[in-house]
Amino acid sequence: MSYSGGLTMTPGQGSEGTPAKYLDREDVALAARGDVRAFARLYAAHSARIFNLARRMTTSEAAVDITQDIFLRAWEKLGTFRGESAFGTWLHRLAVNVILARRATLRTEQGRFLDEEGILDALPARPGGSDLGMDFERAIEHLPDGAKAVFVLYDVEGYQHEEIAGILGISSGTSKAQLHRARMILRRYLTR
Amino acid sequence: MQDRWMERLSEYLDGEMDRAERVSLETHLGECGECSAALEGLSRVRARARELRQAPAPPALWPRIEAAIAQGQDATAVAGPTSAAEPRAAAVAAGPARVIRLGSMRGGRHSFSLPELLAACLAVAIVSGGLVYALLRHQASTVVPGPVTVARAPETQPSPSAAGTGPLSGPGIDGGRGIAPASATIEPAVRTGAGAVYAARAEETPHEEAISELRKVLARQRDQLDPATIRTLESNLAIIDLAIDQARRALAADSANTYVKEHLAETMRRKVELLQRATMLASTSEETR
Repeated sequence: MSYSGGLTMTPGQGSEGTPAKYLDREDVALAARGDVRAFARLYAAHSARIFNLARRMTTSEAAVDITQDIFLRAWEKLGTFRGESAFGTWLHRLAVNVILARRATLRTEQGRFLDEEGILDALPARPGGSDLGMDFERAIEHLPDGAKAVFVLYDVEGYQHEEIAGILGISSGTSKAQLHRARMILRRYLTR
Repeated sequence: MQDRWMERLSEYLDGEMDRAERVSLETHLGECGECSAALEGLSRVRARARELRQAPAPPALWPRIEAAIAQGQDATAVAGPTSAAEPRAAAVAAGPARVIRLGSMRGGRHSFSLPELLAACLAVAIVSGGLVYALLRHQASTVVPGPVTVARAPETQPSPSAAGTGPLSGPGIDGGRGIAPASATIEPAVRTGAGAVYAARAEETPHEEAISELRKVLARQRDQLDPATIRTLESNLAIIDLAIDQARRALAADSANTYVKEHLAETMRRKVELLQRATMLASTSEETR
């Protein structure tokens, strides 16, 4: 059974019966008028999710600069936020667009995003007692480009295939296939 | 048969199969140990993904953002090769390998579209350029024509932004606020002739650095822009370059002319801004799809 997250539920938001779109409203309005302290509160509420999204969809090294870029872009574009959705949703979508654009540059410049099925085989085996969470993060980072994007958006961020298809410009069927591919690679890595 | 189901295990796991297919697959799972094991593994992967912890953003990141906002800047990190072996904290402390400081955010809210900027650049280039041209014509009667030589600042000449400090320091545009009026830093009474031109060129340096960086970025992202936009951009850049060239020639002939200095600075700034917007348009073309 699929679950919904991502666009409709931001972690830490909407969990106490308050519609997520109202939680940041005041700070968004203040920040849109140039109140940096209000923007700092928005940053505090959302930076972890955005940073981790950037880290998982690109690389740990690139994530810091990308997160900075996302929040500066958000600051600049706050005036265009109409409040029809939750601020977290708007920010997340902005972040995905910035990340996807940056991924193209990274792919060209660094050749970091390889599209090889056995890429995780090159990673050293997990040492006994290692932090399984960190290990899993590392495995995600080494997934093939297309599979990684879909896996992060679907399994981690909670987007649906139709949404992912729209974001990545692929078909829903391709999104499903890439998700399965990513899971199978990670399964092989975790069980070796 | 087995391969067909193996490829569809995620759909089953995510509840995206119709009832008939689901029943068929469940029948198959009762007979196929390989598919059953794979399904269990996929389920673990999915559960692990949902349990991933959200690491906090590096503490040094907000001060960087706040500083950029405080300076009225928009900043775009241009990804540069960073050693994978470096701890993230060290990368944060060092700042991005190459950060282009973008121009004024004009109050932090309004941003020009590319067509608006093209129009603004051309207006500046044509209107003020016309005045420069008039100046050149006027001076032609008093200045002996000859090869135009413009003193070039040596490589080691510190540029106004080179002394900038903070995590966002890097090739920049005069602190990101656009170049200051030349008259604010050049004393015509003291700096005349080649000295004044030399100083003016020193002020141009940060713009030139930014233009160089932005042109590299734009070259890499060229395929993100449609050909018509690229043609328009290039032709307008050529017009701006002509205006810059005219201003430099005028400055060589009349180094103390404040208007020409300001015109040169403004035209350079417009060129930087146009390139910035073009690179942003290219990098965020996904947003506007």
